[in-house]
Amino acid sequence: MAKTILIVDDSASMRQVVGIALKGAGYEVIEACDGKDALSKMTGVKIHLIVSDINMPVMDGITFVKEVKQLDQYKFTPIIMLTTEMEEDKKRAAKEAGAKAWVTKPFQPPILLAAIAKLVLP
Amino acid sequence: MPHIQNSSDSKLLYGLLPALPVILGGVFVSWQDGATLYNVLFSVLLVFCGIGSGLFLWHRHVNELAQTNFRWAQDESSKIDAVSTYTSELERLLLTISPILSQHVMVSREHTEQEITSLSSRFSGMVNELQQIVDSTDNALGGQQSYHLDTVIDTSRDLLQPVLELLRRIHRAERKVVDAAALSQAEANINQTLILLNQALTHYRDDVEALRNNAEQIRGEINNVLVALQFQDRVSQILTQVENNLLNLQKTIEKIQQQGSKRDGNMLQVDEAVEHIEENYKAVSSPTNRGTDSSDDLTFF
Repeated sequence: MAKTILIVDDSASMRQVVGIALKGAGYEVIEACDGKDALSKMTGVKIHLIVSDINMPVMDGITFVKEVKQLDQYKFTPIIMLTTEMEEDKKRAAKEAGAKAWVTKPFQPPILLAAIAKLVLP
Repeated sequence: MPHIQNSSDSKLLYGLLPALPVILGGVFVSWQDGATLYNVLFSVLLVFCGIGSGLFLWHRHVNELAQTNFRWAQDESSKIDAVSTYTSELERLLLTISPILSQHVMVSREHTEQEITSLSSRFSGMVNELQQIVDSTDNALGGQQSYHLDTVIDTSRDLLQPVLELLRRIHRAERKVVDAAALSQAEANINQTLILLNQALTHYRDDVEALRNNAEQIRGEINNVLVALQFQDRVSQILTQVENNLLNLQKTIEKIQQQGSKRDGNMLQVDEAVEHIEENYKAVSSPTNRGTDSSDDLTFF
């Protein structure tokens, strides 16, 4: 059975790009445009991994990760931050919030897929 | 041009200095020849002449100062008028250009986003088809099938070998029953079949290898296009920032114009505005300047 990955990004085209890369590797994809939208789409489904941007309107990526870690169903779900940010402070904040990996945009699909393969349980 | 000070001290000095030698001359004559009426009158006359010439020079100096200051004030005033006119023209120009620029940027951004979305959609369909081809290449034409054919040929060879041996024995035992020529022909045919099968398998292996290479190339191209699409998305984000900054600039200028003559120099705060704009672009443009080292791209916590 294919693993389901939630993509959270305010840019529709970026969600499509990530979606193409993930679907090509055999994953199922759910898309959300910000943290709040993502939280609403997480109910009633099984999500194996989350790929989230940081700079988003309504709810930013770091707040979203903190919210996810409060949910019993998803507190152990691995989260990858996919962002243009490169500042160490932001990385530290993401790590403290509970993110498992940090991938910088623009990303090379094999790098993202390698990170996902390492974090998604078989 | 420096502004000339017209202080009371300078007036006094300027008036008295030319008169001083004449006054001293009158006093000296009075002192040397005694205080006769003629000498006193002469001295007084000299003193008055000195004071008069001093006052005349002072008056001329004051006039010169006044004229110089007037000319300076006129120059400065014309410069201020020119700068003011220039500023007003700039403001008018910016107000005219800003909405047009903003509109152009907005249209460019919309076009870029439409292109990206359209390209992504088309590309998504293409990728799915290519992926299916790649998967079928890997699965249907991959190692398992190749192994299976190898096994079939080996098994066929193994199976045929005892049959051939048996036929040879029969041929040796009952030469009259089995036709030697037919047996030889059958054996040759079987060997020929095996050779053809081997050749087909070799070609087949080459095709599989070529297809695998093609699949890898297609994967590489897909990845390149996905990276290119991300840069397109970045362009769209930068255009959004440009659009926002133009709108903010327009609002600021309109605010300044509404203030009219009451405005002060600190209202625009150029440094702060520029810093804010730079910060906006820094976030969206920084990844394009990063190194190519892939270790920067992925960090595990």
